[in-house]
Amino acid sequence: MEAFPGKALIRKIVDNDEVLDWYELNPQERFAESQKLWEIFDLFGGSYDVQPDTQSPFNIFKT
Amino acid sequence: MSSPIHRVLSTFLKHKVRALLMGGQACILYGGAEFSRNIDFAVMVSDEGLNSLKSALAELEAENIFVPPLSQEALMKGHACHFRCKGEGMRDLRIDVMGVMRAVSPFPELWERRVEIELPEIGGVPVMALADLVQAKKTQRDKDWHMLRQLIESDMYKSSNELSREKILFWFAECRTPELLVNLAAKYPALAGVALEKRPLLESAISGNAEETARLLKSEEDMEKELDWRHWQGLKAELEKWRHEKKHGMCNGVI
Repeated sequence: MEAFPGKALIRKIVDNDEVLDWYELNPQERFAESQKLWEIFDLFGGSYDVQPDTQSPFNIFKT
Repeated sequence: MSSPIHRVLSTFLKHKVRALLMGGQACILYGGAEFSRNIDFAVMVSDEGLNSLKSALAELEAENIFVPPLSQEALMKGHACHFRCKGEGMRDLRIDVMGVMRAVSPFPELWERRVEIELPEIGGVPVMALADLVQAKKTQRDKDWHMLRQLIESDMYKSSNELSREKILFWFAECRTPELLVNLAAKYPALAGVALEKRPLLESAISGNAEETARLLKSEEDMEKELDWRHWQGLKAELEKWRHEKKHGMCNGVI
């Protein structure tokens, strides 16, 4: 079956180059990029606490 | 130094834990744009499965937090067990494990369908298949529905020239972008007709009405959120009870 010609449409709908660049990567590249984010996160002293999410069933623990 | 995520994945592989990466870290691999601060696994609930999990958690100096304590019974009921990694350099990273999830296939089936993704310096990481991850993400949380849309868009964006019938039917079943559903229906009308039996909202996509499709997608989302909320009501009552018992020193670790 031939390709679904949706790429151009997705570009138009998403309209965000960073997200589209992310879609273009393969899993290994995305993992590598996410690891870089951890380095930056550490550099700025970010907390590894899971962000409070009032919609999560686990919010009763008030993490 | 490797990141805590890197360390957890390597340690799980070393201890041969029968676990599938899911949640935010799996979404990243499949194209979801997210920065997730924890790591989630679906695990095999058995003596052998939990023994290898416990070995890995011990090496990571992961402490059970909140309730319930890790047990086959709690996992089989659908509870999640939560841990914080206290090992050096682990920065208290949280690990969450589940054995059973609402509307998601039993673990042995998930394991059969797993995708092994080779990650540099880690190895072949077993990851929940995209179709199963999509089911697991149908929760009561808004952010999961945003992620669902991204996961399918990313899958479509990267699709190869050779599309299988199964792939197109998967998109008809799970795509959450109205304009894409309308286009998909126009391109593959016969398959849209097949998919319509399981997803009535495709009727509006087939007729080219993106606005109506959007409205029906929202109704579909709201219904799933309601089902998930109801599913958790019983479990939350049990969690509250255990939390109360733990707070007052009544929890003996046996559920």
